[in-house]
Amino acid sequence: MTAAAARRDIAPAGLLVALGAAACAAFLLSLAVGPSGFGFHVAGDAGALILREIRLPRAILGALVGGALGLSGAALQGYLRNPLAEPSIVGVSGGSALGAVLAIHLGLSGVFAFALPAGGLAGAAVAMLLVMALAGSHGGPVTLILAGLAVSSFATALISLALNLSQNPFATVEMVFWLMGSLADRSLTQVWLAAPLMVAGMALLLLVGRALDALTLGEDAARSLGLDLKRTRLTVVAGTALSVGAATAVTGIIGFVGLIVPHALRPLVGHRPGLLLPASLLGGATMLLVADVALRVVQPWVDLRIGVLTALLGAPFFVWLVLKTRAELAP
Amino acid sequence: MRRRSFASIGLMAAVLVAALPAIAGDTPARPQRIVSLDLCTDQLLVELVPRTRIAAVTHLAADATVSAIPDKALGITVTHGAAEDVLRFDPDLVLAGPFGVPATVDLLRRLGKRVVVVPQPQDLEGVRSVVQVVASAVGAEAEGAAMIADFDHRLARLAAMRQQQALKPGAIVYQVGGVVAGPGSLADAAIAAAGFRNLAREYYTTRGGQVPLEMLLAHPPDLLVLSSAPDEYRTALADNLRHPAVALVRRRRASVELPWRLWLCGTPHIMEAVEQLAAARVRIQARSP
Amino acid sequence: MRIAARGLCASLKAREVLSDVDVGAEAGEITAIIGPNGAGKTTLLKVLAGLIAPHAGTASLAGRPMAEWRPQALARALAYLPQERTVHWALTARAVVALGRLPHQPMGAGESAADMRAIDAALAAMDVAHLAARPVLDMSGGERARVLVARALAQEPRALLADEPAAGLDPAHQLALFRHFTVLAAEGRTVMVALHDLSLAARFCHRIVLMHAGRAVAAGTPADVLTVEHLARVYGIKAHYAVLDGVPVVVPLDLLPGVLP
Repeated sequence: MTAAAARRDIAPAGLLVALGAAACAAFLLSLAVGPSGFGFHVAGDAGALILREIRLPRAILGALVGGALGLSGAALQGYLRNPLAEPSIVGVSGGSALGAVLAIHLGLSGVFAFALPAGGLAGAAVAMLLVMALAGSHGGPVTLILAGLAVSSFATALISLALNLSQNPFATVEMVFWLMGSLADRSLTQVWLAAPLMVAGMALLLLVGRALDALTLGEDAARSLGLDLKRTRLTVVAGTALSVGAATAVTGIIGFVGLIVPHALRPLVGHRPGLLLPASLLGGATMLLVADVALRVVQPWVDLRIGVLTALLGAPFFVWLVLKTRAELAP
Repeated sequence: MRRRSFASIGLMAAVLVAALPAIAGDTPARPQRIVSLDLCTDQLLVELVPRTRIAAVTHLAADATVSAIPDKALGITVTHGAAEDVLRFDPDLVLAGPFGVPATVDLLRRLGKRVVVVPQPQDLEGVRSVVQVVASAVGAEAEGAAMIADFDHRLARLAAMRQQQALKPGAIVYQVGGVVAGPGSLADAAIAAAGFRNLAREYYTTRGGQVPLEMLLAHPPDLLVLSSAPDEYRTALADNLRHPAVALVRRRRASVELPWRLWLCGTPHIMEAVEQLAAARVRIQARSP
Repeated sequence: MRIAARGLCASLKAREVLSDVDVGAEAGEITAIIGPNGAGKTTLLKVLAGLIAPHAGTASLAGRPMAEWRPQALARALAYLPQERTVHWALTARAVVALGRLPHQPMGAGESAADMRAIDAALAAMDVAHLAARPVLDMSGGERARVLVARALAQEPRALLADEPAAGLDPAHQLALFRHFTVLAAEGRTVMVALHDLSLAARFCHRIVLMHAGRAVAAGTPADVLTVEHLARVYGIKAHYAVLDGVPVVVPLDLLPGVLP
């Protein structure tokens, strides 16, 4: 028995190491792939510059944004005890995009650059609190999805309104920019702007593992195990707002990563929501980096956006999940 | 290719003009309450006819970022382009562009209004024919002819300049959102008229569209044309113009910022852009051994 | 650890559920809380577990008011087993039982040898060791209930508050469960259970508190509380209290007229 228990303890460490190695490999692959040629020695004097100014920010953002989305998806699912929760589905991504759009079009980001991720953060926090208030702490999957849909649609409408009011000649194109995110042609400046917030948010989310484990037994049991659920709620909201808000402010909405990754990894961590957090962080980073590499290999030009790809993968997956949980979702 | 598109636009213009029974060449038929629904027809209208005959133009005509003649359009009544709004001016001629709402044009026509849809030129010859279409529609043939004569004169001078320079440097028009002007666009024609070859053909042979910044670094153009300044627009799409890689290319190679107002529309103002490009070419030529 | 409460008043959604309740549970004893549906048993347990703050009166553990306990320290001293048996994810039985060790583990620490011993002992005590690797969501209701009791046992609390722990268990496992509670009491722990099975209360519990409409209407030994008069007044039943082979038994015989439609 003790030997078996010990074996179970080693397995998670092994899994995290394997996922970490996969993320590192995907990061290096992302650095090596680009329209001007494969590898780390791109021809010409521009080679080093291409690596540093174009591919490095893209790879860093891919890892951080993928990690943030995977982790926040796992945290939301664990906290809400709802397998359909995910930043873009519950409206957090939409709120972030709205916050970022307002920061740009009210001119705040022109005054101080930090206003952009801050706007995303604020929008995400508002959306998240709104969804939680609408769905209630005991809302089932359906209530949560409906609340998310409402918040998401409202955010989309307000983005559209803000873009139209700003007399922006690119309003319709910019709508696509926000709703279908992309990692292309981002600069290190943008990375440094968003990375600290994303890292802080992820660190917060990693702290709630114990609470999420305990919440498996319901709120009363979790509290009786000595966990402060108010603090957990605050940490989940702040962590998601920081990580998803800052990510979306720089890349636009990238959907479904937070849905697919936790679901794929859950059986591997024995369904433990706490252990799922670091696994989804590494898995999310790997998935987004690989998807971004695939995008550049299949179609080296910018036109196909990664948000389109994740939605293409994620929407059928979502349908499958709905079918799977249909008994539970039935009124 | 260029000749053919000129012919087709000329043909289109001829059809359009023939469809207008009122302008048979008589002066009394000159429209007196003209409404324009398109930024490009706004600009031609304002430059071709006196204000007294203009009932309304779009709000963009007075917007200095997109209009070449904002001062001249200042104070003219503005229409927002919906059919009902247009009708309140009781126009005797409506000028529309190809990108307007087709339903509005149909509705106005059904209500018995004369609507002339002016095409968007794809090259410099197209600009000339558009001037002709608008000038004859509004009954300003003489003014139109003068405008075209000036245009032709400047074009001929550039052609002469071009012949003295054997080198054909490469240029790329890099815009908001990473979009480059591709073959068949007005910007492409302007680059060619100034004596450059459009590198979009080498980056991306099929059409204009988004090009990865990486290509800009890997194959930097002799001239980087930014169609607007990085800080001109508050939009997330313009982030690519602020990218350090763009700044790098600008430091290493020649670059010009051409305001959008000069070539957004196919009006003779495009010549100002072509002349600036030609001047940049002279500078590049002078620098190279 | 003695659990004591004086003058407890508590409300749920503006409805008073407990009014002026005095209860006590001694270390080394099993105390049962009985009463009809809606009498306030669950609310009383939650107040005593520190999960609901009373709006009047005080509840204390080991002489210290609940409000003064730090959550982590309280969780090491007291385990609460809720009535609902929801498990939200397909954790294995062992993983569920291991959750009981959370209060004993510092942040980020893995399972210590003591943790593993407690988990294995709890699994064995509830006869679920053979199910350790099975996901709880695949189990029968009774099996899952035993796993959840094992979770509370793994917490190794000085005081255990269990809400309807016997519901849904077969007779053999009901007896085994209460035998184990007896062992816990003999070790000097405080055990408090909310119960519907009056025979179990009569047989295993040292003291019984009878709740009715938010008040504790009687308290004392089983013989004192499970009287024909009390059962008639509180439950509206005619019941028979007997001792068979030295085992007390309460048998409900009939509804009294006018109690239920």
